[in-house]
This record gives sequence, structure tokens and C-alpha cells, in this order.
Amino acid sequence: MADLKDKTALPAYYPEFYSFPPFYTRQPNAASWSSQLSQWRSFILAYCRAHKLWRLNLVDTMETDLFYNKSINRKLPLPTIREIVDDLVKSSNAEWLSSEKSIAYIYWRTPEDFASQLYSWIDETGQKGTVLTLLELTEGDNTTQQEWYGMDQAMLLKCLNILVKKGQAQVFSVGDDKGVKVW
Amino acid sequence: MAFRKIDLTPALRPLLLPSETLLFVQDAVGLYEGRYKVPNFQNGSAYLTTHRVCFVNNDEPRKYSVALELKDVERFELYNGFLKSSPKITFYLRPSTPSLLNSRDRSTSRSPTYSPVPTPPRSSTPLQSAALNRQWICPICTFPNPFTLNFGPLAPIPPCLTCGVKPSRSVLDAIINSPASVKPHNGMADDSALQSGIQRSKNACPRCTFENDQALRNCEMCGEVLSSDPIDDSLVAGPSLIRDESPAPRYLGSVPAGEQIDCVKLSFRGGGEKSFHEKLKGAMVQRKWLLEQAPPVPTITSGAANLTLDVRESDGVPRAPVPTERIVGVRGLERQNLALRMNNQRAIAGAFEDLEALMSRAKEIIALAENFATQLADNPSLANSEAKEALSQSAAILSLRPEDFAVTKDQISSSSSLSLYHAELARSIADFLADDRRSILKKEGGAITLVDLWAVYNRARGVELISPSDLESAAKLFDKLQLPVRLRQFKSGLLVIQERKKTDEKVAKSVVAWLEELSKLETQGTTTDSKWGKSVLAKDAAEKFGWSIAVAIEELEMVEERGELVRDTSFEGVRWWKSPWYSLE
Repeated sequence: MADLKDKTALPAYYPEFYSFPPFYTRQPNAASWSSQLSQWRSFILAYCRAHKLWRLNLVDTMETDLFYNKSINRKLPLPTIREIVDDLVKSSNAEWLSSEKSIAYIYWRTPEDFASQLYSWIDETGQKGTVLTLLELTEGDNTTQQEWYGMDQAMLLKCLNILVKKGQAQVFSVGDDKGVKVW
Repeated sequence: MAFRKIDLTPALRPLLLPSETLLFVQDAVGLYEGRYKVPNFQNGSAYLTTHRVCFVNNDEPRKYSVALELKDVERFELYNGFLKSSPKITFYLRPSTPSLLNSRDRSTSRSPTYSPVPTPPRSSTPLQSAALNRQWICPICTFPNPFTLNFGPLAPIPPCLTCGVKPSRSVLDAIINSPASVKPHNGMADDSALQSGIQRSKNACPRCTFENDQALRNCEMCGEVLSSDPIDDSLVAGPSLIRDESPAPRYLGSVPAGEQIDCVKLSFRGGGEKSFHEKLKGAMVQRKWLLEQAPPVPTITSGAANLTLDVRESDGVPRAPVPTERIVGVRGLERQNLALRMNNQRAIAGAFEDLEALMSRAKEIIALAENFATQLADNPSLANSEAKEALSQSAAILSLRPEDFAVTKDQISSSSSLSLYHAELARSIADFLADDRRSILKKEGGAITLVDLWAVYNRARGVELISPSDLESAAKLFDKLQLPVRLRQFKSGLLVIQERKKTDEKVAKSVVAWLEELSKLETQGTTTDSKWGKSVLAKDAAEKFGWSIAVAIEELEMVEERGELVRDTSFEGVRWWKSPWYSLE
């Protein structure tokens, strides 16, 4: 991804507050913080969606454009990022990979949304009843236009498990790989 | 009665006269006239000063506060209390002369509901104001004796100071009544009063015609009530009658016709009467009010040049070379200036000879210092601002009257708890801060930290310094006492003292307005990044509003707390921005 972005040519998903220095300081005032938090939440989700980011390594992304505005030389500190992601986890827009809270899955759509998208895609393409590997779903040539293209395997499994619970799919192992059958 | 309504300071303490000092304060005091409780004056503080006994009621202090001049007090007595009766100090008032002129004083000093029995008009100005500064010449040894202060038509005739022989009353009366150098408005009244007093020397009983002593109210022979017209009565009710009586109520219920109220009692419900009595004794012995022969309230701050002239005349200092012939024009002005300067020089030289002289000349020197300061300030050619500042500061310090503000522990009775001391301290601090001459709060941008105040206040006191904990305790009482300043604790725990009217909203509004103004200027200048306005550091706010840095940080955090500012912490420090989210809500 391009490190240098002209401020004037920022993509639309960048919030206007991106250039506001106090945006990068956690506001002690509760009311200000809640506004700031919601701005950050939507920005993170929009950013991840635009960049097709599925998992966020907080320490690594700290230095990216998401949390670091080089033009005003402001960086969102790590504890604040963690706090925001925590909030995302609360609303099931994210999930910590481990208890160390260093890497998180970011669901810019909820797993349910992805599940229904998967189901309708399989339905539309007439692949009901056929066994598809997970790799096929995320890396296959047919799915490049789909939103879940490139999705993390573990995450995809999570979404498919929703379908399994509904009784619309079955997940089984094929050697090292995993397959799914939807009906 | 001798009560006068008094002025109170913003902090609801009695406003002291220029040479008056506070001696003692006692709370939980009630006021009696004669043996009757005075309504609305039953729960207050008694302030003993060198000149007066002031009573300030706790409720509606501005309405119910009076003072009794000590010079009107003939004598006083301590009553220790008995069972449910509180200890009291009784002030027996000097018989004063009735005067229509002085009834004006009365009407202002007393509310209609105030007196339990209809009392004839009595003067609050005793006779000695006329007798003061006069001398009588002993017919035996021709020694010119001064009049004693309590001299009046009923007072015992004082013996000559040299030979000890008492003169006849006529000698004294002749001098008192001689019109020379008596102030016109007092003189008239006193004269007529005296005349009637002399005529009333006989007091015949209407029933048995026995000629009683003029002070008696009941006939010595038959016990008949001696009827007397009100004016005479006020004279009759002299201390000679009351003197032997007990202050305790004698007849309960009916009020004998024509009863006079000639004593005032302070009832000490919370104790403290002993110390009050001691201090009162001292004050009555010292008679500080005798020193004050000038008009009652000379203002220190009146035009300095005029004042120096006044003082010179009243002190009897020989005049500087005054041109005998009238010289006009520039030369005349020059001469005049020269004379003034020489006089000033003499005043300064004299004042600094020794401490006593300095004290006695304090007023003069203060006036001079202020005069110099204003001259300097007016003179643009003297651009040395440092000198100017030093001079005006020294003038300000000279004009400080620490005794106005210094409440010491020994002024407060030991019987009442420390809280009274702290309350008084709080009042004195409030007065200190509210004092226009210093305008401490204004200089500090309307808020001063407790630490700074402690330093400034103790510097002003000079002696009897207060401890920080006392200051804190006193400051905590500001709200309770409804003083014009308040103690505020910021989030961080920093304590500042602020004007009461300076609320958070006002501060926030001014800060935000200032930021908006700044960003407006910014947009006019450059176009870059004007979207978010301009940010400031706490230092900028401190400069702008005259706050100390600590106060500025706290105030900004207060505004942040309200959500109107947001912070931007970076390696440069914390910058403050107007919150874009505040208006969104």
C-alpha cells in the first residue's frame, strides 16, 4: 500500500478528522471520547474493507496510514488502538486472535453477513451439494469479485460454522485441507 | 440609644475606621437593651475594636448590624451567668444630652420594631465632643486643666490636676457654654441641653413636695413615681441611679412608665465573656479614640497634594515660606511648588527619624508616596518603568493596613472552637482579596492558587503569620459564609480561590470565544489547515487571561471536561483545540 498519500487526494473513506491532531489523542472527556471512538471505529472498518485487511497486527499497523498521519506527524498510541479494537470486539466487529491482544480479526462485515453472502453466492452459482475447499472459496479464480476474497482461513471457517449451525452446510476435512458442502 | 448602624465589608465584617483595630471576636452573642432582648439581634458575632463594640447578626447581617461607641460607655460590668442565664457584659451608657438635631442619628440607627418601650430621643453624640480640646483654669492655682472625657452635666466635678481642689461647677459650665471654637451644629445642641440640665437640678415630688436628687425616679420619702417629661427623663436616668442596680431583671412584666434604657447587654451564649471582658477593660483604659481628633473618617486616598497641605495645617507644622505678597504667573506656581516640595522633604525627613515618628506620620507619608507614584505615572518622560513599578508598589504596600486583614488567634476567644477563628480568617481573607487598592484577584486573572494566596497574604500581614492549614480551613468556609470569593478544587486537586461570580460557564465561554477569534485571524492570514481552527498551549491561555500556568491548565481542563475543548498530546506538550464534536452533539 502506498505510504505517501497526498492529503488532498485522500480516499473518501478517510474521515475528515484524519487531519485533526486531537484525533490522535485519547480524549479524557467522556462525550468527546465517544464521538472520537465512533469516528475511529468506522474509519478502521472502512480502511480494512478498502485494503481487504482481515487481520490487524496492531504493532505493525501502528506505522501504517491507518494510525499514523505523517502529514501532521500524529500517531495513535497503541493503548488507544487497543481500546478501540476492544470496543469493536464488544460489538462483534472484531475478534482477538489471542489473549495478548496483539492481533485481531476485523470483521468489516459481521460473520453472519459473510455467511449469508457465501450461501447466496453458492446458491447463485449452482454449486449446492458440491464440495468446495476453503482455499477455493478465498483464493479461487471465481471469487475474485467477492467481498470475502482473500479472507483468512480461520475467519472463513467461523463464517461457515454459522451456516453449519443453521443446518445449511457441512464442514469436513479433506486431507490437510478442509472442505464444505452447502445444500 | 447609642447604637449606630455600621457599614460592613464585602465579607460582612465591620468596616473599621482608619485608626481602629480589631481586638476580639466572639460568636453566639445576643443583644439586650436594658433587660429586653432586641429582636433580630439575637444570634450574631460581637467584634470588639479599640473604638467600638460592633454587633453583626448572622442572618441578614447587612440589615442587622450595629455598633456601640466605647466613648459612650460609662462603665461596664461582667455578669457570670446563673443556671440558664447566660453570662453577660453590661455596658452602662453615659447619660447623653437629648437633641433634636441628633434625632436624625437615631432614626437611621434603629428600625421601628427595635425598641421594646417607647424611648424619648436620645443623642448618640455625647457632650464631650464639645468639651474636647478645651481647658478649664483652676481658680486656686490657675493651672489649665483639660476636660475629662466623660465630663457632662452629671459627671462628678474633676479636681484640679495640680492642687487637687475641685472647682465649682459654674466655672466648668462657663467654659463649656462659651461659644468659642465649638463646632456650630454640635454647639447649639449641647448648649440647650446643658441649660435644661442645669434647670432640672431640683426634682420635686408631686405628692409630698420633697426635693429629690435629680437622678431618682421614685420619691425618697413617699415612693411616688416622679413624673417627668421625656427630655428631663433622659437626663435623670443617669448612671448614678443605675450604678448600684444589678443587671438582672428586677421587675418582670410591666414596664414602669418612662423607664429608660441606659444599658446594653451582650449575652454570651457560647462563652468567651471573660476574654471579651479582659480585652474590653484594656480598650477602655487605653481609650484609643481620644487620639482621633480629626474628623471621623479621613480618607487616605484623597488627593495627595491636598492632603499633605491639610495635614500640615492640622499638625501645626510651621508653613514653608509662604509668599507674603501675592505672586502670580509662572513664578507664583514655581514658588508654590517649591514650598510644597520643601514641606514634603521635611515630612519625609521627620518621619524616618524614628519609628514612633514614622507611625504618627504614616498617613502623611502614604499620601506622599501615592502622590509620587501618580506623578511618575503621569510623566511620560520618566520612562523608567521599573522605578515606576517599584514606587507604585511601595506606595501600595504602605497603604496596606494589615490590621484590617489580620485576624489573630488571640482575638478569638479560646472557648469557642477553632472554627470561629477560621471563619474570621476567611472573612479577613475575603476582604483582603476584595480590596480595590490591591486588586489581587484581578491581577491574577480572577483566580489565585492557595499557595500564592498564602504567600501574598502572609506578606501583607507581616506578623502573626498564618499556617497553610489554617488558610485551607478558612478557605473551606468561604461557601458557608457566603463570601464573595470561593474555593475551587480542580480535578488534579489544585485549590484556587476565585471570585464567586466567575463561574465555569463564563470561563469556558471566554476561552472558546478566544479560540474562535484566533482561528478567524488565522484564516485571514494563511489558508492552510484552517478547517480545525487554531490550537493553543496552556502558556498562551495563561498569558491571555493573566492566569498562572497551573491555573491555566486547570481551567483548560475544566473546559475540556465540559466537552468544549479537546486536547492534542504530542511531544511538544498539550495543545488545545476547540472541540469539533461539541457542536455535533
